[in-house]
Amino acid sequence: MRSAMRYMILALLICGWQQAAAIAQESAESCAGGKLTSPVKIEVFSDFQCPSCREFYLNTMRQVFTNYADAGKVCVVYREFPLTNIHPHAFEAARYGHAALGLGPRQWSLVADALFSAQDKWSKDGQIEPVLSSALNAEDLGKLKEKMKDPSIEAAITRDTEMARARQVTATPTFFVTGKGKTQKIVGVVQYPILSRFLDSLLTP
Amino acid sequence: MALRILQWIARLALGVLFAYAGYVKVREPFLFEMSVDSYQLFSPPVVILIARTLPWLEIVLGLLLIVGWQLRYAASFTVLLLGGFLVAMFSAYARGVEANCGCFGPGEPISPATLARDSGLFLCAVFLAVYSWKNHRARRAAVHPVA
Repeated sequence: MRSAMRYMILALLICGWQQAAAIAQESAESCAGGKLTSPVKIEVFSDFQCPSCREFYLNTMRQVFTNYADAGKVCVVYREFPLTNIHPHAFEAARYGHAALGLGPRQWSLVADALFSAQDKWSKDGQIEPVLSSALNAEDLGKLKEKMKDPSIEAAITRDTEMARARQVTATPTFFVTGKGKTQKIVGVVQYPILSRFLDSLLTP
Repeated sequence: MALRILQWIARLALGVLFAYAGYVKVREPFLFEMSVDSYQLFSPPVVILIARTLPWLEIVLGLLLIVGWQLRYAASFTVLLLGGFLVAMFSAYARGVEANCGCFGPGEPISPATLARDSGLFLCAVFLAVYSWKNHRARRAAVHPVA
């Protein structure tokens, strides 16, 4: 009886530790815009080589960054979901994106802007670095190149991809909006005026 | 007799599905706005107009089908509505647009499975409409026989 109790306590401790580790990992993630304490969180599963993701970022999310994330209302997390079976350069672009996120939100937004804006260009030949060298200053570019050597970047992208599969993401862009204690999954490109109505509804008490 | 049973099944199945689909959308209006928008067919004001009226239309239609009142009109309107949904869905799929089906709530991308399901519902509605109109004509002919 006593040994059974011990096993139960041990099992509970292991479960608790795993949960704590998961929470720690979750909170360790950084918002590409906004703060972790923001009342609403948007997690976007995106692929830098996907045309719909380009449209969603340039026409919708950039305004969300300006009007909601910068005001501390929304935390935007961009997760990499490169569809390598149809987009041969998506994984490499995701590596640059994740490396830039490691440098900070400002550098990430410069890299994301450049990658999405010049998607037609680098998608053809996979020449990503020239595109980024015109978007970043020499110091940031140097740091980015250094960060690209970090082997944990690939692991992070794999983790994002596995998370996408676990959350049944099958298309990009797919985003999850968490607010008022609920998480909603939305697939596809949504125009800014429509998304902002939903965000406002979550931000009103 | 078999056709009559089929008509009952089609009527109740479509009615319950429509009423449920409308209810889900009415409960989460902003999510349905985003689903409509993801088809990339309409400007924001039109998206909002569709998203705010369509769910109520579905509920009314669903209830009419369940009750069976003015069945031939309700069934015909269901054919038109489902036909419209199918055109929008096939158009999004053909254009390679990653759209949210929005059929029974958010988070369901358009796929061959959703297209097959809605095509099945459309055929079901066509059967119901044709059978209802035939029935109505047969009854009228029985009441007012042609010399």
